[in-house]
Amino acid sequence: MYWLFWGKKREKRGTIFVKEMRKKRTIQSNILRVTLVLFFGLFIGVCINLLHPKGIPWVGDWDHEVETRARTLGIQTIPLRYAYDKYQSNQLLFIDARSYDVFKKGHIKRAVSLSLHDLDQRVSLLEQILSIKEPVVIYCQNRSCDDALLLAEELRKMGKSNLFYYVDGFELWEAEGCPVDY
Amino acid sequence: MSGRLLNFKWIYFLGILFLGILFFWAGFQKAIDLDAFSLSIYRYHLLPSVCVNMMAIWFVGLELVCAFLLFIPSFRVPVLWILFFVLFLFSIVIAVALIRGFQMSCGCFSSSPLADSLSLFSVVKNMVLMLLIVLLLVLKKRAKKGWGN
Repeated sequence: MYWLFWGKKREKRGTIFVKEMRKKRTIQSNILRVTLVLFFGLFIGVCINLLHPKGIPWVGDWDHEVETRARTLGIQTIPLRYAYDKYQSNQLLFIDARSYDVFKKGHIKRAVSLSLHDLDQRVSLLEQILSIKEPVVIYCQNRSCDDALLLAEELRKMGKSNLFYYVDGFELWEAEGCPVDY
Repeated sequence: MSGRLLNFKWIYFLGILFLGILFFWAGFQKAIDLDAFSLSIYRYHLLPSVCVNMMAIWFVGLELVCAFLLFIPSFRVPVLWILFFVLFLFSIVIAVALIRGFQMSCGCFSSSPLADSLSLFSVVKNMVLMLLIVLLLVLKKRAKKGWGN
């Protein structure tokens, strides 16, 4: 009777041991598989970037982006989606910071032209902009140009606090089929 | 009983199929426009700028690989755990961006400049997907006992 019991117990102990070993092995193999998937993901990502016609640099120069500079200056930036939402709300004034010649070739519908270089000649418009309570949205050509940022900084110095800097610029606005005037 | 198990099996496989298609589509959208996706990551302002592009490249590859490996049984559990962790991470990142008042697109399932703007709904969507993954992990455990692997 005793050996039967002992035998059973040994068998039971053995089963538990095997179960634990199996569990341990499953965890180990799952950890190994997770690592494999993570590395394989990196490998595929690298391959996609290498073969992509518009591949991106491995290390981007984000510190010199106009957006980063705007953040440093404390000017609120908005991407296309938000600019478009604000445009649709019809309560904001869009200011085109590019030169008047470029503005004439195409600009956001209902936008006014106020180039940084023409500030002295457009005093009345400037006074109007500074007097309205509604926020204004300033933009220029694309993410590389900084005219809009410089104008936003200038307007802020003059006392206009509620302004947005639309960072993606006219290029993306036009490319995405948003309303434009020529 | 076998009818119930059959239902569970169907729920399990439909769930896996849904996740696989969803993550393949998300990864594919991002792979088409890597530049826009790296910009989305940059706009969260949570990573050092040297890591932004590498992270974008890695995430795109990871999403596509996970989408494919979901259909290989031996990789299913590890992939589900990875996806759960990725969604958890994204939820935190989105919540932080919302708290900081960032005005931007989510960049979660599309890198389009006119994609839906960041909102609490993005976090809720991630939570629902996380719940689905937990359900699939539970069903997978059942599968081992009930309908074999």
